[in-house]
Amino acid sequence: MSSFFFKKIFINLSHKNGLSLTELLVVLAAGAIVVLGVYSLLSSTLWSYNLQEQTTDMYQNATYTLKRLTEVIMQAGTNLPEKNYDVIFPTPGKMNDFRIKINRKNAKHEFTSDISSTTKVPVDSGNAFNGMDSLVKRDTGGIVSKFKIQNVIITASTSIPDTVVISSPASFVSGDVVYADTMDRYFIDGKNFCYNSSSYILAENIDSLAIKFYNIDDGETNEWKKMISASIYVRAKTASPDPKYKHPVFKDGYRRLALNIKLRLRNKFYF
Amino acid sequence: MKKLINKKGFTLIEILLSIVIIAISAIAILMWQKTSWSQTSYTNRLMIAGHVIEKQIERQRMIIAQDPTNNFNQFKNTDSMNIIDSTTKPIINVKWYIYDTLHDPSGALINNVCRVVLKASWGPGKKDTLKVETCISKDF
Repeated sequence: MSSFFFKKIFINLSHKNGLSLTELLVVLAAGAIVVLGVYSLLSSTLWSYNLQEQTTDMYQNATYTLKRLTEVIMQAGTNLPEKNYDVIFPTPGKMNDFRIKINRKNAKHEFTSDISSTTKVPVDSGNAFNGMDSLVKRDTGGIVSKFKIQNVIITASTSIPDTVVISSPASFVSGDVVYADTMDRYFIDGKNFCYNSSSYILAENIDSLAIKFYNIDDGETNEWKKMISASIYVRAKTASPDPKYKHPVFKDGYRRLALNIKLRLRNKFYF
Repeated sequence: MKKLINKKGFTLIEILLSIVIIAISAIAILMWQKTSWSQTSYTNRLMIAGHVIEKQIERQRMIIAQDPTNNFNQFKNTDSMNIIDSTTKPIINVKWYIYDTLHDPSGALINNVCRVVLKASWGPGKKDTLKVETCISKDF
């Protein structure tokens, strides 16, 4: 069957009369149709691939942003003084920008003896204090004071405690507790969700972000001591517009996904 | 014209066979595309369904946290339905069932903890589902 097929082609190709104009035109037309069909198929495949990729990215960006913010806000105040100490600082007039103090490595030390005025504070584990901005002291009366951490000396010996060097001398009595904190910032820079600086992008193409904090009566507040819950609204969009799509609300070619959640601050209680 | 009716040229059967082969190939590619698209959509919906369930659990926690004494009484033996989260139209339904409070092995009541079953469904006929069973505690 195949030898017969190729034999025929060979005969046709070696024909001395060549192809007629009509034959040539028919072949060209048929070829053009085939090429157009293949192009259309490839184009459609490429469009579909791009759309899938962009849509998946959009879903991931939206869910990641929401997840990250949810975890950060839920845990606000963990391993930090409960009173006389502010943790969350919303930027006035901007719902997509806030700062939060965290004790990232669970740095905590409780004093069992008195220590007079010193800049070298002995702690059990210096590693937890290393890289943090401030030493936070909570005395037995609940009063909080802060000292800038200049250095942390970690000793290899178990008998000699690690030392946190602070900028100004402080005194400690038995029962005082020290923590370490550092300030983190989460915000939208143009269209990206960023952490601390515009160059540290956590998620791209975040179209809108609104974080609100509420008091016990469900009224909005920017004061940490009154905060009891928070709401997060995230809207992500595709990276580039799709010429075949028109958004019903925004009238552009971007697809969008909006997610929201209202959550309890885990370290705050209603009663 | 003489060449076109040449007996040595391709027969109609051969041409039809070629067209059928090309068509089958094209359909196969399109089907693969469709399957791929469906799978992506399913994965995305699953991701959202997880979020919606998480949101419902958190919502229940919010309500419970504001109730100082009842120990879930207002939710006992109830079931509800809600439609949440969408860009422009509802896409995922969530039903949740809050059962009676839990008991320890000795039969004693565990205060302020309830067993909750949440089921999200989506897609044509709401046949795709994600079921989560968990316990919600008033204090944590």
